[in-house]
Amino acid sequence: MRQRILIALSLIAALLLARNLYVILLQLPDDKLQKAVFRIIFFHVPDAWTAFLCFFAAMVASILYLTTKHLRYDAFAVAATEVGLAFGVANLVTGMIWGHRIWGTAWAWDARLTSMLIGCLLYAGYLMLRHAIEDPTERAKNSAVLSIIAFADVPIIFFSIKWWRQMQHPTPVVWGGGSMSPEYWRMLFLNWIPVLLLAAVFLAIRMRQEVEQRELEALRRRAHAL
Amino acid sequence: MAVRYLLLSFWQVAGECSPEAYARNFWSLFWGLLAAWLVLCAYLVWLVARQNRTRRQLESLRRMLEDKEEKAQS
Repeated sequence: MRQRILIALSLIAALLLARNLYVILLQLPDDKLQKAVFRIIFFHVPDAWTAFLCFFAAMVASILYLTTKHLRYDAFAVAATEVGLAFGVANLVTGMIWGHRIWGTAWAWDARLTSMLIGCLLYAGYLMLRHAIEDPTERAKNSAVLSIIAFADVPIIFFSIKWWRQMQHPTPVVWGGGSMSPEYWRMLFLNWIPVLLLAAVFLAIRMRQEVEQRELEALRRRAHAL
Repeated sequence: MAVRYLLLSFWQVAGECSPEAYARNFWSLFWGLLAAWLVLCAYLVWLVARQNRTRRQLESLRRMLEDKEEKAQS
């Protein structure tokens, strides 16, 4: 049943993505200044929103783990962090390709880009920390604390445009004061739906893995005891 | 329908190998979209590979434990 739901979600995501790709590539007009490369925004921004949402979910799950000590919250936190990191990296890579064309350089050390990079490094550190600790409860406790601390970077990424004015990154439309034509704006949200569905599928697969990993660790301990 | 949309989109991309396409920054868009999906596909492949590895290890550990327990009982 669970497997069927995941397949159905993946199919819906694929259909929506195909439809959106058709509209993005063939129906939407080019931007006056940036021309066709502007369309990267329809993947770049939903990737960032999905990453932020995953990091937020990981932070909430970490708080819940610290208060309840249920390991399923820890499993959810690690799954959300890993999926969020994948979307965060996709966001950085698409931004770099866009910047290479529009700015003439793939990277600028402005507050938005640097804070996003730091965020990705922090969450990569979270995943590495988990590999370094053997005991499951100790690992869950330490990584929950790190997840809560790392989330402090997300509002910094989000509001960096407002807080640091001298930036190369374009002004965002959401809470940034930027503007966008309604058809672009609509497409941005429409394309976020399949990206979110994909993230949900990844999350479910990763959570299942975490449960199996726990089972594996328990069996190993039993084997050592024998 | 979806396949038709996809084919149409890629046909359009393939047809854009012209100076006009370069002027429109079309190739940067193409590489950008390709990179975004490559990152996510690579993650998915890695997830599936890890899942298979974990399941194989689980299976062999279970078999090993069953053997050990049988030997201990006999």
